[in-house]
Amino acid sequence: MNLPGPDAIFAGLSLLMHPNHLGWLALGMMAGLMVGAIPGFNDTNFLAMMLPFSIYLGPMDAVIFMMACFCSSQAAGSIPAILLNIPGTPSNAPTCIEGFRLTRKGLAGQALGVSIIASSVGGILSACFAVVLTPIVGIYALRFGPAELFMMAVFGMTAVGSLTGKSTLKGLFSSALGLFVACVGTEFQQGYTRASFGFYELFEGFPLIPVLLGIFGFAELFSLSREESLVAEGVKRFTGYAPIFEGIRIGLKYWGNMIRSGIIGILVGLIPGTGAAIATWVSYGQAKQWSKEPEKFGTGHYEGLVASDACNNGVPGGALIPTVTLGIPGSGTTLVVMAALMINGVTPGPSFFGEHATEAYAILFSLVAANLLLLPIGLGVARIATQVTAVPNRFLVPIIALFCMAGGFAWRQMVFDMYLVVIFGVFGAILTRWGYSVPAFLLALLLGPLAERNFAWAIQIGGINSFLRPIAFVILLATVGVLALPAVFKKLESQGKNRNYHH
Amino acid sequence: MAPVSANEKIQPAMRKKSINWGESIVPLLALAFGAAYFFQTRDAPGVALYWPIIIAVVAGSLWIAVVVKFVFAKKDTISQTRSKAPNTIAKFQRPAIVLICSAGYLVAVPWLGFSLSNFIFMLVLFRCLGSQRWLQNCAVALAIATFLHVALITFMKLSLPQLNLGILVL
Repeated sequence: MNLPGPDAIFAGLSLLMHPNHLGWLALGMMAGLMVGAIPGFNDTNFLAMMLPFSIYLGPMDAVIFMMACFCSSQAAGSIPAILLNIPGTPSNAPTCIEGFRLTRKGLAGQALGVSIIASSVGGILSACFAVVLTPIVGIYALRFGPAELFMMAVFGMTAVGSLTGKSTLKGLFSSALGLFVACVGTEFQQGYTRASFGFYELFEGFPLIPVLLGIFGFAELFSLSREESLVAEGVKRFTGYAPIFEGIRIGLKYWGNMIRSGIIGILVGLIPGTGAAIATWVSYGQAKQWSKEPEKFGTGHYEGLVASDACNNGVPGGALIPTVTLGIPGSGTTLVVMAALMINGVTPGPSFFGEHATEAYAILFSLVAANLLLLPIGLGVARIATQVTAVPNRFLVPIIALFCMAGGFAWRQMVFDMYLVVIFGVFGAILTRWGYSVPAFLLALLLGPLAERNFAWAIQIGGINSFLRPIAFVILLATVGVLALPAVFKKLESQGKNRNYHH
Repeated sequence: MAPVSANEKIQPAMRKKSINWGESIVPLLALAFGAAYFFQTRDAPGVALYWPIIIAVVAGSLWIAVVVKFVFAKKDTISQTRSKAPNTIAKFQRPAIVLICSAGYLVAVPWLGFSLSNFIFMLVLFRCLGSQRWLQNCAVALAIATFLHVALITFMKLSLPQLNLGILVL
């Protein structure tokens, strides 16, 4: 199969230009900017809450909304990091180092400006990269048979498991546990219902949405309820737009740093399970290594801020590529995006580009559009977003709990699913408390049936030798290799941190 | 030779090691799930079970590794008790309130209907989590309950449980 022609590209672009889709894009951006500004409640939690309602939007509107939310929340996480020294998302930790010191110097506006422009440039670069590379990877993915797809699923689960748990062992155990839980429900060969525990609601296995809502949304409430408020210091005052525009001018001076950091974000984002939290430290460390003024890092230096934020927004584009082409979501957020497509009847994977080229391009262009709009919408929402952090948790917790439980009901319209939200919420809190990997558990739950089917088909077609075919074997080697990645990333990450603290 | 302080003399004796039993929660849950799963599927045909058995073997191997690791990775009893003892009850009080209220809500929904349950749930939880102003609590709870009713029942036509009061359906 050849690459999709210009017709598909233009069709995708015109599909995105539909006023409805643009409306959801803008709404997603605003929601993402607000959610990203709330420390401790990230885009994955919010999108999981929105997932049941995406059925009423249709696949395109839902995914465009989610991609916009994903991009803008990454950028908005910098707002509390800069103003309050609290990272809105874990990936904003390096932003705190430089951003909050700039705020203490009275340069909060400039820091916000630098952050917004770096996020936009990193995001646009990443989105363009995704537009070019995704179809190419998609073409190669078409050569994948059941053995290769099974090995890809194993690779994804191994990568996410080994990189997202407190330890590699616990991460891998989380994946295995997720696979085991996915064995509940009717199996595909004989139609035998395995372990539904007497509940007809479990005949098709554990429903994805209540499980996602419980583990990502409800579980978060237990830690939120322990705090009086999201922030301890109160909200810093907004000081007008002039310093922000000055910051944008300052940021543009570091264009080389922005491009390099964006590329680091894309490359790290490509590897399932890595995520922006690792990428930003790697990028921060690299920026210091390349800088002419490394001694200024850690004292409130714009260069470090640029590196962190450009890289942060470079990750979504990279993470989208394996999600769309291989059906392997690399992070919690892309997992939710993939689930939104699946519940709307669209399955991402090797055949996605062949069957839905227009929609695929529309999704990719939505990433470009979201990053282009980040600058104007970001400026507008930055003002309100800082106020969101002032809502006391005693109000937030019950409201989020209600949305999670109502969301659990919305998909299949069963009260049983509301119970599942609470049960999996408690289970998610236990997993998190003891350092197990929640994304690995969920990814395995999502990919379990796919892995089982492809494993059975591969065995039926070519026996165990199917897994020794060139592509499958290379993926097998990559799976073994990925087990070494935690050590490599730990080293790079600590290099990034050490470079800051030892100067 | 430098004199050994009393503190230094006591420390090795006090540094009594113990297993962190909290680490056993997830392995125990996994074990219980595995046992229930295979008990439920004891009559299943072989072809339906070969995949779960493969997964159980993989998960079982990792389970053993996790258990061995937590048994041998001993923690310092003193530092653990000192850091956690003072706020143990307070630490779990609020999450427990959230959990109990949620369980109560789930039981109440089929009887009281979605909207009334929402209102009561929020009112109780606002109060339990520390919001003392009844008027403010009522206003917020009413606003959210109304929003959810309009969004989910009126617009999205979800068949959520409702309480029919004759003139009013909540």
